[in-house]
Amino acid sequence: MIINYASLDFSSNHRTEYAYMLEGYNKEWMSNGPVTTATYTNLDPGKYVFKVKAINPEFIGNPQITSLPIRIIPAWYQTLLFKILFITAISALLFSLIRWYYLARLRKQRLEYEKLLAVQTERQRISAEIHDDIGAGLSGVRLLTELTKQKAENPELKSEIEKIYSSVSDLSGKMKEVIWSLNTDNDNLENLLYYIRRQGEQLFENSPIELAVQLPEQIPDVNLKGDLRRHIYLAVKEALHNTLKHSSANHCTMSINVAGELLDISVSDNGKGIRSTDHHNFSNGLRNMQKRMKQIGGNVRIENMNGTQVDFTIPLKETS
Amino acid sequence: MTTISIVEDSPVFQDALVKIIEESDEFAIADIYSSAEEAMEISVHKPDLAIVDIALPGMNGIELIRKLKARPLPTLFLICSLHDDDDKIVTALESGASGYILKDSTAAQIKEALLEVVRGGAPMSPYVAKRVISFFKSQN
Repeated sequence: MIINYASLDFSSNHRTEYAYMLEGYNKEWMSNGPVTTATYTNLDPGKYVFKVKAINPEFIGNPQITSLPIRIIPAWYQTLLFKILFITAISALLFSLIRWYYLARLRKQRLEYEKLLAVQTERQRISAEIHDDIGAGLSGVRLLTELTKQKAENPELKSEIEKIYSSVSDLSGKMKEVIWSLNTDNDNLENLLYYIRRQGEQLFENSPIELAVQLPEQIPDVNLKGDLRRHIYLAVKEALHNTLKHSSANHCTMSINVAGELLDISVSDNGKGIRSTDHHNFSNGLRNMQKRMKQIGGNVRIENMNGTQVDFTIPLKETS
Repeated sequence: MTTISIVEDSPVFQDALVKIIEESDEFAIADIYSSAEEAMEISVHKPDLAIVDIALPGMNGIELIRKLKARPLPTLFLICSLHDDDDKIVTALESGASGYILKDSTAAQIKEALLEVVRGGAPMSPYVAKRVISFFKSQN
């Protein structure tokens, strides 16, 4: 905004000077020398009063002030209505963006959860079906084989049937292990430890070795996935099996402890220890145990003093 | 001779049980059922003994025993199941079963269990007996 002004001064000395102020913008008078324009830029919309006075040294007395009221009308984008609308629009946009983001995330989580649930349900269904149908069928075949074996008189035939019998028994046992690891109801530490105890007791049921199992008094509530459970169980089973087959012991202790996030399982017997003659059998078993421990980030240590002691140390926290 | 009915949905296992019973002099087959619903007939035919599976299509074996036991019936029940979890064992025995054996028992063990039921005993597979004892221990 440029304002031109001039005093009606017709003297020739041209010594008239001006001062002006814009009330509402300037706080004090601005001396402007002999210049007869005042320039303002970027004035906010509103009401102002432009005041100007001429000062001539030859004139004594109060100079007269001339006023010009000015009203600057706001541009459309400066109106309150526009501002309110603008802020509302931006807020609405931000809100819907955030809402969309959360909804999308929620939808993704729900999809993943549904997928997980579907997998779990399917695992339950498969394990229940295998358990009931194939399990009962295998048990039936095993019994029929047993009855046939009793009737067979030919020793060669008897031994063949015996082979079938032990294969079916073996299959039946393995199938039970698969069902156990498939069933998501079993995905916890408590179940694993009870299962290990049970399988241990069954393994030693008809053997001359007495098995004592010590479980922790309080088993912490820890979630364990099927494959982790399976690796731990099979590694411990291998250790128990070694004791059963090769130790010639009469006592075996399996003691299980949970310290913080570490599971400690130790299997010790009072047998003959590992002799160089058993080395082949033993190294196979050891390799299996080591392989399993490696897969789950655990460790196996073997001591050969007054019998054999196998120590498993397994981190319970998932590393993946 | 002791008459025995079988409630079992697996044809192979049914067959095996029939053979065990037929080959023994002490027992005779009464009826064979594939579901608990059919086996409600036990209350009419009144066999001396019934071998009952737990996992059956429809009503389960425990429910069947509970229903039949609600009537005056001379029949004794022996559970023969794959399930060996504590709650199945306990509820089966509570429902009125005389014994509980697992399907991985040998033919000789099954026959011995049948004889024991007849003698008034309560036969259990070694693992089942252990679970029952630890169940009572945990109750104290």
